Amino acid sequence: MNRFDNRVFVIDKATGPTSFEVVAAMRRVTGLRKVGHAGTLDPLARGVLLVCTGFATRAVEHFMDLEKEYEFDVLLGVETTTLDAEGDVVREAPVPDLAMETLREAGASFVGDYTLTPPAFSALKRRGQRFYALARSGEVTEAAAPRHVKIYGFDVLSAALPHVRCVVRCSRGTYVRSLAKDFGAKLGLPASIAALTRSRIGAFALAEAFPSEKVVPSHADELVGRTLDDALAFLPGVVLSARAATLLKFGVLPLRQDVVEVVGAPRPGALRLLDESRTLVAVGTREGDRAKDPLRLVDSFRLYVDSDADESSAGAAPRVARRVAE
Amino acid sequence: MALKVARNLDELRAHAPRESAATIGVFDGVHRGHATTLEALAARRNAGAVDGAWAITFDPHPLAVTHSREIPPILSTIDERLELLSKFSLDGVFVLHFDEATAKITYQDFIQRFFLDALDMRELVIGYDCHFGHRREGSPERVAEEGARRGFGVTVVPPLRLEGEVVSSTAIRQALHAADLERANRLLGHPYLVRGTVVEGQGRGRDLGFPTANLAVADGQKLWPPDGVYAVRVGWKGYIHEGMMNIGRSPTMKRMEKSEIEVHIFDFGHHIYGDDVSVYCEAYLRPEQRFATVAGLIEQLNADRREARERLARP
Repeated sequence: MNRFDNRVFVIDKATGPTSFEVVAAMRRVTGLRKVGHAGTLDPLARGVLLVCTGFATRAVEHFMDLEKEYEFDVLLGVETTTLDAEGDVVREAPVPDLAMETLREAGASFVGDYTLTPPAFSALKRRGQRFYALARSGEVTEAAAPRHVKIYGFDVLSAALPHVRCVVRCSRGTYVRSLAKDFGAKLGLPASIAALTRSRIGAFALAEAFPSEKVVPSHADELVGRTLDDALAFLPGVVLSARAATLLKFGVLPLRQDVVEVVGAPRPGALRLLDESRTLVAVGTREGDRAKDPLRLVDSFRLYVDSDADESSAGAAPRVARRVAE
Repeated sequence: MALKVARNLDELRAHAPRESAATIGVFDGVHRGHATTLEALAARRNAGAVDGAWAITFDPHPLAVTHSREIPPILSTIDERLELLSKFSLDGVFVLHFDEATAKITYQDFIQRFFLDALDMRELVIGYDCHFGHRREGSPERVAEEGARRGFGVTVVPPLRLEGEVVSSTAIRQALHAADLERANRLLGHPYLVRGTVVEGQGRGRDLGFPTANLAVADGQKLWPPDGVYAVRVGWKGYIHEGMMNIGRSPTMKRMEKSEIEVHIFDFGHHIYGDDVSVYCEAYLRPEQRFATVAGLIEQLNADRREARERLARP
């Protein structure tokens, strides 16, 4: 049993490497093949990157849906092709002496539903190639489709014009470079980003993150991952009867009457399915109409039980997410 | 035709199977998917291609041996499987005791020792998902190659789809768990079977005018239908009786910690303590409920009996 397997690692990715390079380094250090990350961080950005191993890789979706927090420096008066310091300057303008109050108001105006255009220099893919790779190679790219995101908070921390230090809390899919450009636009100025740090994904904060530079064999002892039980504790859960929990491990959907106890505040979306010892068995999701099938607790689920369970079994349940027909 | 049952190689040799067609599997539930394989097997014998049709099955469940951990709740114990297999036109069943040594036999050795040497097998009929031998390496493809090399025919039976879903023990467990007995029975091709030994209860049922046989189910892995009241047929000493079954904690009378199985057989006065009975769960009538008064319970039991009789009378 590899102590790195089936874990979630909170990594502090340095500026420079791609997220995939961090994953590759994790593969070398852990000796595991099944390693993936939950949400790309551009090479030029620094900050929290969640790296999952083994069956925890199947849970990345839940981490990607978490609220994220970024700290970033906006450089007012300069817009570049990449919207950061690496690109060629597209537009320049003198920056007037702006009051802190003006900057704060511009930031606060983003809070709520927001539509943004992903920058050309983003980790999104177009025809199989990353936008940032296309942008870097000088190929002109059309912008990706605008997307709707939620901004939960946008604060201006300090200003040393033309630099403005901001912090934003936002939903999945928010491009901070685009936000910086739009922030400049509110002030009537071109803008780009001078520095970008992802300081938090959900409750996974930079303070507890393991530096990506130390993801090398000589520091392997210091690398500690969280169990999936622990890492998914932010999802509401239900404790199932012993019978239902056992059946669940073999592919049978639990029903509402199987719930013995509710853990955390119930809300729509993913639900942790726990056995009587409160160990995570699966994460279920509810999609259908509750009124149509009142017995049903979840419509599909993904098992997170120890991975060698069905390797050599005759007729055991499939480990992948199952969905009941109808 | 009585089904020959061999529980070890000596017993099997005593039956001296010659020129047989064979199949292999756990056959948990002996459901309709298994039935297609078993019927294909019998058809080879009936067509005169071979002289006998034999099935190899395992006891205990291979998972119980290859995994120190949990095994799936089973749909049928070995006794239940044999009872269900006896309804197919097979010559015999070889119940191979499955232990760690059995688990290590390669599929090639397995074919030699059991299929060729013991059963004189000429044809193998297997389900699409059948794997046997060490590490389950004996897949239909590999077994077919082996057949080509050693001169036995291999027929692979494709999955059976019913109501848009492959018939599988998982689908049946799902239906049973949801108390959808109708669906479970459709997928099984027969009413869900629970075999047990009649043990002495507290006699509360008799006081109510509904004497019940309390059933002890020996295998702890057996999947019980959910708590509730069922219309059943009960097989006892070769006779079939109608009745109703309660699975639950008897909340009105006894308030048990764990669920129990009690069967009330209609118009029945025999003493059957210690006897084995086969309970075929024909229909799910209602969930278990607690009654404020004993009179209320009796009234409900009378209604249950009427409904059970009515359901059992349906074709």
